[in-house]
Amino acid sequence: MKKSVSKKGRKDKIRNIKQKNAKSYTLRKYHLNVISANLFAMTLAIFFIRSYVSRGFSIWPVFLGLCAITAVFILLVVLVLKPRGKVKTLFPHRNLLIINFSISIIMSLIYIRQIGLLGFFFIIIFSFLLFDIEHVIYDNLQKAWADRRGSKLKGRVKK
Amino acid sequence: MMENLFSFSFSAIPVALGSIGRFIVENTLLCGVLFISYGLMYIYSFINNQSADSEVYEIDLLSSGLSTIMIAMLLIGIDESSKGFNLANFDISEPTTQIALFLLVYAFVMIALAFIKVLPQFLVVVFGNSELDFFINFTAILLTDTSVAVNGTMLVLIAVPLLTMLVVQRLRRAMG
Repeated sequence: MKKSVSKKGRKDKIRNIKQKNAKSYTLRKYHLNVISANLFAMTLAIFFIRSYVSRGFSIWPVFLGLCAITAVFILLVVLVLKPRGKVKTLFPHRNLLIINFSISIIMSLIYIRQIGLLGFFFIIIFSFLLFDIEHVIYDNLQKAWADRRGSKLKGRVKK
Repeated sequence: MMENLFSFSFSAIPVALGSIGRFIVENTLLCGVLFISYGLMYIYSFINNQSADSEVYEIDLLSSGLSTIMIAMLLIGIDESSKGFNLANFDISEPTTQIALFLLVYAFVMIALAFIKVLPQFLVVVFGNSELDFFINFTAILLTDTSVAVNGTMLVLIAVPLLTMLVVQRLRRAMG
C-alpha cells in the first residue's frame, strides 16, 4: 500500500515538474513584450544618441537624468513589491535578462564609434529600464488587474 | 527636419517614398531590428489570434504610454539651442518640441485611461495596438535624421500599411 502511494506521489511530482517546465518554456505575449521592448528601446536610444553626438550635444545631462529615473523607478517598485513579498520579481527571469543584455551590448558595440562610451552605457541603461518597466507591468500589474477582474466576476456570480 | 505635417499631395509620394527608402537603406541594421521588434508581436498575435493574451487590453495602453513618454523625453531636446539640455533654452515654437510636448500629453492621457478603465474596448484596441506604437517610434526616429523631411505625405505612407496590417489582424481575430 505504502509503495503504491509513494509511487503515485513520485509520479505526481514528476508530472508537476514537467508541467512547470512546459509552462516556463512556453512563449507568451509577456516574453515577446519584454524582448521587443528591449529591441525597440535599444534602437531608439542608438538613433537618438547618434543624432545628439552628430549635432554636438553633451550627453551628460540626459545620461544623469536617465540614471535618476532608473533609480527612482527601482526604488518605487521595491517599495511597492516589498510589503507583498514580491521583490524577487523586480527583474525578469535570468535567461531573459541574458538575452536582452547580450543583444543590447552587441548592438551598442557595433555603433560604439558613433555613440562613444557614455552613449554605450546610456543605451544599456535605457534599454534595461524600458524592458524592466515592461516586465513589471506585465508580471505584476497584469496579474493584479486579472485578479481584480476575477474577483468582480465571482461577486457577480454570487449575487 | 520637419515640414507641414498636415499637408498631403499625391505628387509628393515618390519623393517621400524615396526618403523613407534611403533612410532604411542607410540604417539597415537598426531599422531591421525595429521591424523585427514589431514583427515578432504581429506574428504572435496573428498565429495565436484566439488566445486571450494576444488581445489588446488596458495594460497595452499603459505600456505604449510609458514608451511614448520616453520618446517624448528624447525628442524634446533635439532642437535645443544651447546643446546642453538647458530647460531655459527649450524653444516651444520649434515643431519638434511641439510634437514632443504633444506626445507627452498623449502618453499621460493614455496612462490615466489605462488606470481609470473607462475606455470602451474598441478605443482600447485603437490606442493600445502595437501598430500605433510602431508608427510613433518610426516617426520619432525619422525626426532624428536632418536629411529626412518629415511631412504629411510621409506620415500617410507610414500609416497606411500599418493600418492595413491592423485591420487584417482584427478581421482574422473576429472571423477566427
